[in-house]
Amino acid sequence: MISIEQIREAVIDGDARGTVAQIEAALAADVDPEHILREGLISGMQEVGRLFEEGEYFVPEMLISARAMSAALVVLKPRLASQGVESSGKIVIGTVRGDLHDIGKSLVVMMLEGAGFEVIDLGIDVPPERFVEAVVNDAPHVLALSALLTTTMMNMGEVIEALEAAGVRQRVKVLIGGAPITQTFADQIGADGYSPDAASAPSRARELVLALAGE
Amino acid sequence: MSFRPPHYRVLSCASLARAVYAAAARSAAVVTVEILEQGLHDRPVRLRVELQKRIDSCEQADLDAVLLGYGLCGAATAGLVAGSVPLVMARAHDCITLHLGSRERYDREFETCPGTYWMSRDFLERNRRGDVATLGVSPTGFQELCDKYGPENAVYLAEAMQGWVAQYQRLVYLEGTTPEPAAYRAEVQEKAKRWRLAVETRWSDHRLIEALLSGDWGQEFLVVQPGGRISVGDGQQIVTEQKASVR
Repeated sequence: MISIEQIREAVIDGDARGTVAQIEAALAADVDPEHILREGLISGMQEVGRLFEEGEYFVPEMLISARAMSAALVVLKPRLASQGVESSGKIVIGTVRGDLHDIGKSLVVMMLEGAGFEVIDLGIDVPPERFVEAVVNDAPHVLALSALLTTTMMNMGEVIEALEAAGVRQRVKVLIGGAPITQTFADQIGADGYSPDAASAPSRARELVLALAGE
Repeated sequence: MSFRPPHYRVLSCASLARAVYAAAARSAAVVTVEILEQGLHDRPVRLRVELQKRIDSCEQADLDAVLLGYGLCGAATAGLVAGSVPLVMARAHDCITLHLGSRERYDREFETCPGTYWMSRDFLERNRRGDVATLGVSPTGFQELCDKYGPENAVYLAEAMQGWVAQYQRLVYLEGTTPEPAAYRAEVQEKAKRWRLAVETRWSDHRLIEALLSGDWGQEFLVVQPGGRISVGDGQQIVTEQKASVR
């Protein structure tokens, strides 16, 4: 008997092998891939996010759960694609110029992919012009910027200025995050949204995709 | 006694402990020193709560100012509210500026090599949280990860947590102004070798800490008046005051 709840539990426990095995068994038993994605993986990661917010889970637990989900997506994505399941939106993400840190950003990438977004990861130490280029060429709904240092978080404002200078600011919503980032700072530099942690990133991104569609 | 020197209380990160104690001894003011554990900036909100608690509990009747031995430190100090006396801090991103003596010197170092891991005598002597470069994952820490998350996840976590060291190029040791045990130099070399970083040294210049504890607060400092709040400033200011009247 294949249980979606077992897939969900395996994600919450950060059991990558268990998650993949359960999904393979579920697919073999003709369980709907979209049902597996929504009720197994996404629901599991939402619970992980809740546990993180409550202080029960820390970054290591988030990382291994996200890893389990990523491993599961490798198996599930081709089946979702063949069913024509639509992505939740397209996101370009990167750590801003001068910042070499990527644990937080990589975690956000995994969370977003798990929530059904198509994610283009530009990596670390990304200059403003590279973000502009990606907005022009890849037409994302959301541009997500990450910074760990207060020294480099100021470079987030440069990216927004570069988008304005290139005349593409209105095409995309800008979401920012990282340890030193606050809503006040997001307001100061004119970002459209702020995520206090990786767990909240998918819901914030979803809000921004909807806001862009409504304009 | 008719002469009354100013009375300050300094709340400082352990990463600056020796410089703060030395400056307190040399200051013409009467300075009470409180040292907080190093590395609390990893969780900025917790550090902010801890600092605010200590600011609020300063019940010393003759106190003239509370001083912060911190920079913006992951924005942990943004949001702190001054109590009944001014709250003073250097316009600095973090303790490295306070060790180097000026923002300009720090900016030059950062521009030259953003991938710099800084270390000081205080770090070697007072750090209780494991190496930041490996987020506390030591050989014994790895066994703990194995026990807690299983061997496969432990390998993944160790790689993920240590991955960013691969992006760094150098370890810079901030030499103090007093002679240091030779063993420290060997320890720094050993760490750099393990993390495959080049080793460089810089002389510390604690003029900002001296000025902070002496009440010599010029343009390089932010003086927040009672009830005012520290907030993130623009690139040049780093920090600014949000006055109580406009909140």
